[in-house]
Amino acid sequence: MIPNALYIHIPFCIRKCDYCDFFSVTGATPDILERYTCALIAELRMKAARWNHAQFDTIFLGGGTPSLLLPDQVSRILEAVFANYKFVDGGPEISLEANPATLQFQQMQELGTAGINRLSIGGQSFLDTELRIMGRIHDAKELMKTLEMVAKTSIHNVNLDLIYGIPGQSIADWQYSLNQAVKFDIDHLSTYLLQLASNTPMAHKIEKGNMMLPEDDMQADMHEQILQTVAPYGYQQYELSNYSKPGYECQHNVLYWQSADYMGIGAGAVSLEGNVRSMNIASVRKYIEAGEQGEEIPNEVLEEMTNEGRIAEAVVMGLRLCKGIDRNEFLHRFGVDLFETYEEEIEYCVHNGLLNQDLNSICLTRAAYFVSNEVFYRFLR
Amino acid sequence: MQNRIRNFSIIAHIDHGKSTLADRLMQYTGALTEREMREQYLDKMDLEREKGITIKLQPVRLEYKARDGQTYILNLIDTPGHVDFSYEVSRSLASCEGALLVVDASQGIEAQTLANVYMAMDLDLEIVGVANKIDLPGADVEAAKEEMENVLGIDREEIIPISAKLGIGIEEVLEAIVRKIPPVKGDPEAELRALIFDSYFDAYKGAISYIRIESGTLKKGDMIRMMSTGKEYELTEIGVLTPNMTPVESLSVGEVGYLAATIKTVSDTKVGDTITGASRPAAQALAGYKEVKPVVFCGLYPLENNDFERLRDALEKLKLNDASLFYEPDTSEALGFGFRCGFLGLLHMEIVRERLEREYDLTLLATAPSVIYRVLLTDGSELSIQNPAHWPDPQRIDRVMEPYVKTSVMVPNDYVGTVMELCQEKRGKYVNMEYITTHRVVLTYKLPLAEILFDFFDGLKSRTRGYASLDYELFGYEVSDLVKLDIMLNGETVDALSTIVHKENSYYRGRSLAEKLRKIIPRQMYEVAIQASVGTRVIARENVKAMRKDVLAKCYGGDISRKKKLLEKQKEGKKRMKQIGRVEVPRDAFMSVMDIEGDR
Repeated sequence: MIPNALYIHIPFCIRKCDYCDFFSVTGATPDILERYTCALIAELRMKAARWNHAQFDTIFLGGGTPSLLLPDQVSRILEAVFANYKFVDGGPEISLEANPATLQFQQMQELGTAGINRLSIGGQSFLDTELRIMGRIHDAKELMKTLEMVAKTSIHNVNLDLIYGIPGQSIADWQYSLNQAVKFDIDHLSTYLLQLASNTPMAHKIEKGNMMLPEDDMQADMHEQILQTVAPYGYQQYELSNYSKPGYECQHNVLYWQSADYMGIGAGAVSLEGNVRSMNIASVRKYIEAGEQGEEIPNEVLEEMTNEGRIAEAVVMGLRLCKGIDRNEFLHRFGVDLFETYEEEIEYCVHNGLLNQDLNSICLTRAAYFVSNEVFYRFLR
Repeated sequence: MQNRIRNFSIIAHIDHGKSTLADRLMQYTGALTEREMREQYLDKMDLEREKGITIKLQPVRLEYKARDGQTYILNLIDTPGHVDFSYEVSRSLASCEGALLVVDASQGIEAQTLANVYMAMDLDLEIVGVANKIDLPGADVEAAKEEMENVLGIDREEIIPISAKLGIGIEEVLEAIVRKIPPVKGDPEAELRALIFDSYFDAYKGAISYIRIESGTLKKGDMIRMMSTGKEYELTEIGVLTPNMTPVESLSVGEVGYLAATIKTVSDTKVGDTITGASRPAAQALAGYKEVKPVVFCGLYPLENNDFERLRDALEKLKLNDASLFYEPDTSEALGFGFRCGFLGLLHMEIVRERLEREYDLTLLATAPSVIYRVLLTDGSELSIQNPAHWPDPQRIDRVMEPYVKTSVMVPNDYVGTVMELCQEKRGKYVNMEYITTHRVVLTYKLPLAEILFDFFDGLKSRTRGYASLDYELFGYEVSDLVKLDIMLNGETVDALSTIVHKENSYYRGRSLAEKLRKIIPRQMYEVAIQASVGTRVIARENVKAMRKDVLAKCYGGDISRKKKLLEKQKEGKKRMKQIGRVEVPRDAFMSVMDIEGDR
């Protein structure tokens, strides 16, 4: 049995980044944050019965900017979680996303006390020019200060997000940020190729020709640069965009890639239960109102998959992990033999050097990582 | 009764308002209620309405109470306005005693109109001149009248100024039809002879034929005989088109209508055949139609190989009401099983392809069009080749002849130089130049048909800012220095991409085609080498670099649904590609041979 993941969405930011199209709002007052916290707690209580068979293994406070919450608020949220849900033995991984500009030493210590045992820092770049282009509110100095501070806290599992493929970024620029990252000896690195949703300010600028993304070939070179730089420092790639020291893989995200069921709490949060993926109402006001009145949170079904569709999704997600998919585990969970169901697709991809296959698993070849969509679309039904 | 029937056609250039005038005539005579009315009513196909052109004629019967107090039956047989379909025009004209010539008063006569009017005059039709669009600010009614009088000898006093759009002058047109166009002739008591001028297949009634009765009378329940095959059928329904199908008890001399006789095989209602009575057959069939020969050929292949049979059925059904369509099974190494199809021209080709895809839900690959070449071999024999893939070994070729067309371009005199330049570039041979008015000229050139197929028309339009109009007719074959241009993908010749080009143009075409393909073929998992060659000589080479990026960087719980949609879109896109060897080639690539842009 694969355990479940619990996601809590904190949709508040000081400023929206120019490339981001996640649900978040700016200008929230302390009063709103407090009322939102209460609504989260209300939702956690309301959903307890429905998820009482679930065994959770991870909690992830994502955003938005969860570090805008007071440690006390985080603590109360986590209390509500533990009061209402069952967890597998050994204690869950509890992550919180933080923005360098919003993080103080004292606050980090208190978050640790509240139960947070993994911090994910949205650093993105060590160059001020790049940070400005992306519309980030912190600069490189603040980021470095944050990373120095966090090393002194009681939280000993730290991730740093980095972005590449930024307009104007050179190979050397990217190398600089990567070098900085390894210098701080961070446990986990998420390196994301900048991908623009069409409704973001940056996408508009690029469309108008005011900005240009690096060409595909250069992006591919930047991708190769990552492993070359971080591997000598003991990092292993375990997912298409994720690298860590051994044992520091992000358990929460691994559950997503293993296609586990997950519960999303908060405005705009997404849940997967069986074949149904649904989303809470993406409005802070309506979410708070529902929570305060003890009503069920308005919720929209995003998709209802067939078994076939769910299986296809599990393959596509599973292949994002470098270790790939275990045939027996898959058979056990979904009742189908991967090798039989996808015989043709697997054969094609193996023949063309995109997949490795052994007796009991398939995984992407390293050469296929940066062209993985060429593999994935074939598995959709 | 016979004296009160008028059969007429409308001759007009595209956009000169023919379909709109037809709409108004129907409205004025009450053939359609306001509720039934929609624009371009007689253009039944979606395609026609979308393109704003008439492809398929659709007859309509109007009842008009004239100023003399009598009620007349006016049969309008609408005609297509594009050069590809001039044979359909001749078909409609042959069923009429008169024609309305509609000229846009803001544009004047166009080349195509001229050709059709001459055709009507040859058939002794009475021409009624109409100057349309008098409501437009740019309309010059007097100039249009002058042109019609000078060029066609139509008395300017008789030309009716109208605005079909605003409904001005419609009654005058109807009166002129009654007054000037002669009544139909023929003996209602004689043996039955009815000409099939169109047919189509109806799922419930079987084959439906549109007919005009030349002599005798047709009654419901009669046994009829097809004069070409001798096959006999019992009439299940006869009727008139008002424009909706309206059953009647009988149809007599001069009348235009439809018949159904549970004819299951489409080929049994051949357009141009004569229908007679089984009990009292006529001795001789009517003249019928000249068989039209396709001049443009291309390969049509189903993207999914197992759709071959469906494509065959669809072609068979289309052929029923499109006698000019030609097809035969063909095999391509690159594309598999398909058909070699022949058309009257490029528009016809485009329309057939679109109809096959829309009406029969097929996804097709079309290869670049080709004309018919006559290849004389060194052993004295001659080949007729319309598929470049069948081009013989150059060693065996003595000489090659290609079809030429006599082309008339009607153009304001300011553009004469530009048009001459274009014709020269396209290997044209000057024939003559004629002023039809002080500022409009008809330029006549002999041009290779193949050049017209490429981008002549686009070039003409852009260089004359749309002021030139074009007409052409097949002229004959002339010797040309032609070679086959092959395309290789990763070293393998793709037969479906071969074209026949003039030797002098082969380098240019080879280079542009390779370059074009480089832009069209997306980056794939492997590098793709594109080579253009003539014989064994490679004349151009391009590379499509291997794809290095196709990735979704981020994929977590919240956005899986969206990311999956992106992948699904990608999967759909791949379905529109043809796998040739290891190379995925987009459907459009095969037509790209056609539009090598830019001028040399």
